[in-house]
Amino acid sequence: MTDIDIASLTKQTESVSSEFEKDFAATSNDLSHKAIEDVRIKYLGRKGLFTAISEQMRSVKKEDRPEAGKLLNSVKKNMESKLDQLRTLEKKAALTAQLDAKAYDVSLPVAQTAGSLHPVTLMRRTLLKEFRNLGFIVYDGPEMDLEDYNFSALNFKDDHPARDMQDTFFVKDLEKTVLRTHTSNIQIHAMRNERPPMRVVAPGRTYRCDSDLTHTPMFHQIEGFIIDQNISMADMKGVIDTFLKAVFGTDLETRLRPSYFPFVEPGGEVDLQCVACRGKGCRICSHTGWLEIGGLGMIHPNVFEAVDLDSERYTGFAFGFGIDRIAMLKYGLSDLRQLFEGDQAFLSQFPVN
Amino acid sequence: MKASLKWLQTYLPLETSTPDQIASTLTGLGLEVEGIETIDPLGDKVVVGTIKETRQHPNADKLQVCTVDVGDAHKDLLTIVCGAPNARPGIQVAVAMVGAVLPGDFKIKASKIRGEKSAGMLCSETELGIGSDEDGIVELQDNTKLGSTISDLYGLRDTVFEIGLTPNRPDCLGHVGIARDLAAKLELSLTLPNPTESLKEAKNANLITSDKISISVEGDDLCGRFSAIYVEDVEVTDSPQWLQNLLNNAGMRPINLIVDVTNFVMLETGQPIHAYDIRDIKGSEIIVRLANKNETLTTLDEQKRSLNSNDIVIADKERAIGLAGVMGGADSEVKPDTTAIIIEVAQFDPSKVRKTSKRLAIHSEASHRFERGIDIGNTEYVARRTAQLIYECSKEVSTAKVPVVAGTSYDLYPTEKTQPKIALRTDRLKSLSGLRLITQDEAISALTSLGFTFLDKTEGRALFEVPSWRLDIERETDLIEEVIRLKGYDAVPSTLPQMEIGGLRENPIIDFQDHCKTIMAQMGLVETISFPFVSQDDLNHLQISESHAWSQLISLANPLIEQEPMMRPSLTIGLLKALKENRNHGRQGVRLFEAARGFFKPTIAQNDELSPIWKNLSRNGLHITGKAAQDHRAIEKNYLAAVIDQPWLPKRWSSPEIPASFFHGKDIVQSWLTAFGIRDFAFKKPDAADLPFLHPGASAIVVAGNRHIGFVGELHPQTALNLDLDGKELPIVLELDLDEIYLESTKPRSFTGSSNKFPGVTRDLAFVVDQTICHEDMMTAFKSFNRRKNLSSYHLFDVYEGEHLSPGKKSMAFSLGFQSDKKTLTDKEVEKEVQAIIGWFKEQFSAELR
Repeated sequence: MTDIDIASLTKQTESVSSEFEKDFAATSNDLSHKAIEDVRIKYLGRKGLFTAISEQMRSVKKEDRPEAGKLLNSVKKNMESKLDQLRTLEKKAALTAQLDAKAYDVSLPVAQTAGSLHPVTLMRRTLLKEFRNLGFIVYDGPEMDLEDYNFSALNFKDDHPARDMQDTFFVKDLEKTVLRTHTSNIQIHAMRNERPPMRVVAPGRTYRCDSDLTHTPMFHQIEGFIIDQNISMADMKGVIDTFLKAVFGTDLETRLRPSYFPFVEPGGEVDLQCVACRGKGCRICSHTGWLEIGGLGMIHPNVFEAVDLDSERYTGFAFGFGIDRIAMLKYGLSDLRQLFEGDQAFLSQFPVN
Repeated sequence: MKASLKWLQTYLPLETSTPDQIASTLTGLGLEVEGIETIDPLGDKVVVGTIKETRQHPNADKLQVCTVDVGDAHKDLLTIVCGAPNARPGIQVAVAMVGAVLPGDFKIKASKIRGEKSAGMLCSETELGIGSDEDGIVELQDNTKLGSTISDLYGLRDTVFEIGLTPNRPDCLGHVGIARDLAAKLELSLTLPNPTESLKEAKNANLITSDKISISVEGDDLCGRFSAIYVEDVEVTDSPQWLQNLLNNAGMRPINLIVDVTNFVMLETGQPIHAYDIRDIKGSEIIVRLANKNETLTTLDEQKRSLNSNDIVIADKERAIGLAGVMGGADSEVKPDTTAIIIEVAQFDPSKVRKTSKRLAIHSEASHRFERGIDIGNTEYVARRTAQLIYECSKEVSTAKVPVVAGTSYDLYPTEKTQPKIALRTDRLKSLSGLRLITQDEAISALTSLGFTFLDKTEGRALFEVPSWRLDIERETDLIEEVIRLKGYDAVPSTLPQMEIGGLRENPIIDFQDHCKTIMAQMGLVETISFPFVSQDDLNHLQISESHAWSQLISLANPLIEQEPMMRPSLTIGLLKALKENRNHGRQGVRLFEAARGFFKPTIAQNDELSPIWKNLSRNGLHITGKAAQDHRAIEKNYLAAVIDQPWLPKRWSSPEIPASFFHGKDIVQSWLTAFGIRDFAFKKPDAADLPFLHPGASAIVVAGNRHIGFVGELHPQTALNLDLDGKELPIVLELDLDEIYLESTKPRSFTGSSNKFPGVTRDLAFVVDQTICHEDMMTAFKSFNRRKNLSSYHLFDVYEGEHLSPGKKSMAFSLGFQSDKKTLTDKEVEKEVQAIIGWFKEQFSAELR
């Protein structure tokens, strides 16, 4: 094996370096991961040009070895740093290319994916939220109920015209069963299951055999009641006022007037100043200036007695509002029947929340 | 109930209040005024005028041309052609000017009569609708003010309040009742008619009603009281104009003097009255009894009615002559030649009257009142009041004969009703109302002004007798309402209840259902709400057979639409109908959902024939709790259902149209279930008979544990055809049982802790298996792979059938993840496990690697 001197080694490295510089320049102008890798392999790979030179190290004369080592090191370093330069450039170029590649028309349409909740569901949520704020809990019960719960226990006497106040759907196949005409049946369910003190609301579907411009055979009510010792009509006014103001704001007046429901005494109805004409009188309020939104009253002692609660010890009040009606007022809708026609174009305009 | 202001004014002085004030007072009393109608039959264009001069009409012998001065009502003198013989200068007349509208919608226009201009009409009593004289024009008193309206002069104007009367106040089904409440509230004195005085001259003491007729009641409780009075020498003619006007204003058509008076007194007192021609009462005997089997009666409206043994009839010796409390008989009514009558004023069993009226669908003024209850204490008075008014009105219209009223009436009142006595505790009044300052004296004064008799008091307790007309007052709380009602609900202060925090728990299904809706909506579906009524056609369209769980539904006795008598078992039916409607309106890609209840007969639990898929139906919904759960009642299940129409995505600038498929439905179900933390569920091929409305090859039942919690699938092509929803691609439906899913969601679940620190490795494997092997089978095999060491995940990424595969085979490619929590896996370790898996699948399914 012939010893190689430093001069020969220097000559070889100069020649390889100069070729490397050419490749470096060429690659700089045409950057790609592959081109850079090719250059590396050509010089530094297992069979690379520089690798071939460095393999001669073992043949270099002993006294020249330190210098030769330095030389080879510096050439290799140079090559590696140049390759790094190329890699950095390539990454930059790739970023730039990625950025240049996109200049969208951001106004192009996308497919709408949001769905919607029914206005009655939205209104029901609002109402429940306000009642929960007032300390009520939410209760539920059957839509198809025994006459006892829907009528008798609520002090509707058999064969009394009060039962005609509500056009009742009677169930053919089950004895003494009706589609509940109001959510007031929940009063009886709750009172038979729980003991006072009670603060309960119960929203739900209700049914009456009636269909015209302002009545649908199925509609929604929310029932509520408070039972404890010493609950007064003044408390009833306070709770209802607070609730109505929370839902409708403070600028609409409400009025409470005597009315009759067999399960309350004294009984009344709540009117809200017409949202459309603000009390002046218009078509929506039948020129009365007022919109009837619910019934209420002090729970009748006969009801307490029907559920074995002491009517001397406990008093309470109950109320029921039409959710559909309130939703229509709140959302400015004029056609009740539209709520139940299932038209996607109408329904999809409402939000999910 | 229509209440005439003019009528009310005959009982109390209301002149100082405006109609609006009276309306608001009535509403404040609980007599809600739902509408106010102003009655002015002649308007302000019919005025008082005077004839200045007359001249002969040049072209007509019988006509005169009059020059008329109407004062301020018209700036010039009017020229009016008139044919009345009594038209002559100097008299005061009623002038209908151009623009006036006379009764019968007779419009007065400027015209030419035989060539002479005429700017109006001089009117007769009949033309004005104020009397029956039609022979000449009205001659008014000389001193009437020119230009003032005839309406004012004759007091024709009236205001009518439409009162929405609640069923507890039958006493206000007469003007007197309404006047009584007003008088109490406005602190006015009430003047009621007193027939005793004016009947003195009409009575013949020798004429005794019981000589003319005998009255008996067969059976207890049919008739609490029967008062009658005999009147002879009546003449059936028109009643006086004022009475006709008031009847008209109160919404009743005048007929003849006798009938009008009975109607008038009914609208006055609230007590229905019937007048019989005495000639028609065979055997001079009135019997109140239950109808006989097969008995018939032709009522006043000429309808032949079949009666049953629950109907109370008024009968004579031979046959029924009236349906008690509902309607009189046609052949005993007052006729033009009637001369003697029996006036009947009675009380009948309200419940029986109601049943008869309902069964025969006769809702009459009488039945309306009898059902609600009449003032049993007042019948005898009402009989005399009727007789008095017949006498007075006959005199007023100058009948040829003067009626004679029996000196003694007939009053069958076997058990006099004792009026309830109720005590009112002042403390209770205060605590229930919240009116802390109200006094016992105030309460006494309020109640006495409403007609209650104050009997006695001790400290803090006052005793009252309820007046006979107040059938709604039964206990103390009713008295309390009366006091507050009179004081005004406005007077009650507004406070918030002071109470303990209650320990009640909410029913969790309520919130759960609400969250269900939110998640559906967030996935792009639109909530709808539909009616629950279904028809046999609906079920036929869905190909529901007689043995199917949905074939035996609960029906309504009185459905709104005859063809839709059943309550839905499923929300799918309604959603498909809604989809059809939407398509009819040109909507595409409809995605609707609904959360509501389905209804089932309780007997469904005993039906052993039912497929296990419907096992849940025997369990009632979670909202039926406590005592109610033990009742024999309908089963109500909470469901959530959705319908997804084609296409899934319409053609867009960025992608072609994507049709909706079974898998979109499945995706929704799966995302929805996982949103509630439910992961342990599977989609299984259904038995086609269970879901006959779904495509058997593109539908699934959803199973969690051993429970069936829902279904999803493409519509069966035949069902689609039946519903007119057919097409190349079919709508997708899904329905889930919320009660079951809620329970599933509350099951405890374990969660894995922190993520693995060592890197994972993936390998892809494609197995060639028989086409009959389903994905679920492969998953089961993965789960049961017993040499499992580091296999951490596996999911299908490709399914291939066709070229390069033998017939009956398919390739399923899985991506497998391997990871250890102890170290980084070597290729060798992974390879070993992969080979074990390949071996396992070969063993299980003879699977070959592709």
